[in-house]
Amino acid sequence: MGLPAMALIAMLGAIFAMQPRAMSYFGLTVLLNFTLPAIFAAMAQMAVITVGDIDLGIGPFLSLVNCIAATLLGGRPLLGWLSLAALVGTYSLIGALIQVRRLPSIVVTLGASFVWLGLALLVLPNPGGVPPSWLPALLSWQSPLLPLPVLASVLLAICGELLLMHTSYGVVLRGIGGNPRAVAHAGWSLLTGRMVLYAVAGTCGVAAGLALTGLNTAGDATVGTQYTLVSIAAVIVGGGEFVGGIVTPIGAVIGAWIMLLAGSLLSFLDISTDWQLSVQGGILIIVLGLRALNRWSGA
Amino acid sequence: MKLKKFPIGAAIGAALLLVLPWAPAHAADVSTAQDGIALSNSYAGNSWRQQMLKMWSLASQRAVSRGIVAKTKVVNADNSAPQQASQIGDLTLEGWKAIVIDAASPTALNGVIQQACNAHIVVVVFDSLATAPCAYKVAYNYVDMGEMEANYVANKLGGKGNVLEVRGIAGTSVDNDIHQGIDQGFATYPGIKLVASVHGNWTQSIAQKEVAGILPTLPAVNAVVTQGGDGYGTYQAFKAAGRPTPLIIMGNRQDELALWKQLSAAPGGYPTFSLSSAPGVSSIAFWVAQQVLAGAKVPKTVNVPLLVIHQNNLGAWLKAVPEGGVSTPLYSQKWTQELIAANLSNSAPPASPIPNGVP
Amino acid sequence: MSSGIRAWLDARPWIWSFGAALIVWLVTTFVVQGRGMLATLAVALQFATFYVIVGIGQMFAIAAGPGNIDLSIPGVMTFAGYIAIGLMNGSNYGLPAGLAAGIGVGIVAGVFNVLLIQGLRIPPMIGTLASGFVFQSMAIAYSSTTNAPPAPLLVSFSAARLLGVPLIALVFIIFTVFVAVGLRRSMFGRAVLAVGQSLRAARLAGLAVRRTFALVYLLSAILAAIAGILLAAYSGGAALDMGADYLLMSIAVVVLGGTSIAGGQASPAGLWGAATLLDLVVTMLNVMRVGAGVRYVVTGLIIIAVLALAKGSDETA
Repeated sequence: MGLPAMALIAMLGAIFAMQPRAMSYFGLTVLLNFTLPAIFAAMAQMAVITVGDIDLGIGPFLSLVNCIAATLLGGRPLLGWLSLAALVGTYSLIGALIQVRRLPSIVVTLGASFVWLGLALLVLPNPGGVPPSWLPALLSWQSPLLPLPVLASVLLAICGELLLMHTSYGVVLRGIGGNPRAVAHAGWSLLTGRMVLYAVAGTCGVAAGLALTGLNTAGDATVGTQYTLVSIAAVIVGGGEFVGGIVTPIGAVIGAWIMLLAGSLLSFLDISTDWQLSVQGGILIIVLGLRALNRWSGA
Repeated sequence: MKLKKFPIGAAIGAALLLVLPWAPAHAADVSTAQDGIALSNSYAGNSWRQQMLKMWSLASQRAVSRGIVAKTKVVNADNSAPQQASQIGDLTLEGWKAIVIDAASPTALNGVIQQACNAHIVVVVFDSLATAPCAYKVAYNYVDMGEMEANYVANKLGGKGNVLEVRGIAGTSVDNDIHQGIDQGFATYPGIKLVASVHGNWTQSIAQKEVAGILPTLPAVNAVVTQGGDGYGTYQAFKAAGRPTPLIIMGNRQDELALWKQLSAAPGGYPTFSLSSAPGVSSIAFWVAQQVLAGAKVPKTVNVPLLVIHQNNLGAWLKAVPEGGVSTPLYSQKWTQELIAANLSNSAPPASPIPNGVP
Repeated sequence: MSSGIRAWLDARPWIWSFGAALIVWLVTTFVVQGRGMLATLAVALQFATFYVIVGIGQMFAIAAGPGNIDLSIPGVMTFAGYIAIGLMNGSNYGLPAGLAAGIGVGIVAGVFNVLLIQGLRIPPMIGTLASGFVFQSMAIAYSSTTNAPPAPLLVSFSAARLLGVPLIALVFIIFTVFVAVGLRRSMFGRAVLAVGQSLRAARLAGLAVRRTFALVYLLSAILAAIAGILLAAYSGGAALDMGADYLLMSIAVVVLGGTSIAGGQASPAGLWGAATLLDLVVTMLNVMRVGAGVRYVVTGLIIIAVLALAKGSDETA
């Protein structure tokens, strides 16, 4: 986990050196605003990766939440909140379906991604809508001392770390990814475990969608698509692995920051945006390559 | 005491007298030579957008070499609103005086645009507009475009016939507006039946695939209303299905114009017209931004006339477009000033200049 | 009743996708009262072919065992398409160079993926994801320098029909037969399935495990390149978003076609059923004048439903 943290510090150092304006309260806010949806999306993905699954639908799910927030939450809040709760419940049911029928999460969440996109288009066929006024206000709140994105990231990372790494049930949940048979033998329900983690993913997805709505101040059915790949990359770059239930909440947050800041770094270096994807791919390769070398020499 | 003040007052007065004749005669001459104008483009993946970027480069680099502005920069997003929003945030931090935007979403950039306005940056949106109230809008009237197409088709078909609609990317303001215009236009012609509607995403290959997929299930199609970048693909789909070529409204891509010329050579010709938005609109947007920075009076919405090509000047336009490219004029600062003046006085805009070579 | 029929169905995992495709086709026929139904099927086969070409590569990857998957397919398709068409530049004389260059991109991509996965020990899902980004990025950079049209001969080939059936569909149906035979008879095919069933057992049995994996990813990349070149030719040119669909669709046609995500078993025939099904669903919904929203929801539910039904009896953990 030290490697991602060092990479992040190096990136921040380079950014501040090239663009001193970014070091102010306002500058950090502008620079890091869009990490807010990203850290929650990464946390959602991490929850699912904990049990060895993957969620290919988190991006469109964010868009759906965004559309509901821009239509129902403002005009008919009760219906809006009920819909969001129902969505979290649906996520939990997806986890149950995967467990009970032993389905591959990659295809189930892929199918779900179509459903989320379709529902988003039904809720909000044309971009627009008006979110409830408290949402943009919340996102532009000038928190004391630390800018809002920094504050939120720190709190979320600490929260996730405590719950997943330092509680006994957290250990059990991570065990489902690492050694499901042993966990089942010990008397824990795999079904409940999966449903809990998927519900956490759904909740984080709702938080991410709400954050995105507050930043954009409007709704759009396709706004969240890129967050699927960003969330996967964030978890992996932060130290998570697909096999064995190895995840780290702090790492997921750091990973989200790294993936987002890569774009800003390119911009300040005046490198053409054509190469942005290459840089994101390159970061993944370098971080994982270094980790592999580490394991070779350390193992 | 009064005596002591007098020389200072005189000095100031003299200084003013010396400076005054050189003060700007009117506000529009505030120098923008120290300013930078950046372009944030949502998507560079089709020929229209690539031509748009080329026209921006031509206009902005000419301005830089003449010392009118200091610097310019282009950033492209991958059709993702959050990515473009991040990029606009970065531009805000970098200190650009004006940011020109071709938006990935009409609404998703509003937050970050307001943030830029709060930082006293001039924001101009064009082509794919954003609804943010503080931004200047260089706007085509796409609803008008749809109506013009519908009226032309209805007239040519004598008020009766089957029409296929090829739309753009679902959920964008451009697509919605053109569709609305077409609906409104056909509303007064009960004999016209809209038999199907597919999304071609302004890309010939996607248009071809979507039209090919639905064509077997349709009755005879007499005309196709399009949005641009889809005429050639539509033609290919009809040809592959062995169906007679219907009346297709053309856009301004070179392949569409060349196809039109080719079909016109056949007996009976091929009566249609081309209606489109010119990628050169980026050069208009550039000059609008520069004019706002220079302190000129500019209305919040600058309406731009659509590019209309009829059979009689098809040849001239075809000569001026590169293979695989998109027809467009390069709009100058002077032309843009005339356009702004026309907007302010609510009079007819100047005509689009036909370029006399590939720009 | 259950166990006998169940056993028959399990031996033919491709049957669900063909069955669903048939149902969708019948529904569409009903809605348009029979007009143009055979032509619709021909068009569906045409587009299904592209999905099947990349599906074969993805199928080998997935059959090679859990954790194996190729997410670089869209990027490789797009870059190979651009390079190939760019070199052809509208002339039949440029055709050999274009084809060679395009397939060359596939080979380079395959080797790159193998280096990442075996050399740097990066998990395939992330390694191919990252390399896909890189290739897409190269396509973006290259695309602004060119707007070349494909060679006319290749365009005719990609759109040609033999007795009403698309030519490329026939070519690749024959190819699929070879693949099916090869899975059972060739050393490579058997090695892939053995490795997918149990990596440890395969190693103990002395199989060339590393070489098998390397060939799998090489094959997948080359097939992606071929699909990209043909698709670009058919569409009159390459486009930056031409690969966008194929990331998720390549996985969907493999799994819906009956190949198990747990590895060790492959169902090439099912690829055709699944690809045709997915294309027909879009046509059916277009014909029903259903909005984009309902279209997506129905597509997603069909994917989940076919999967849940087909996998119902799989008891292996």
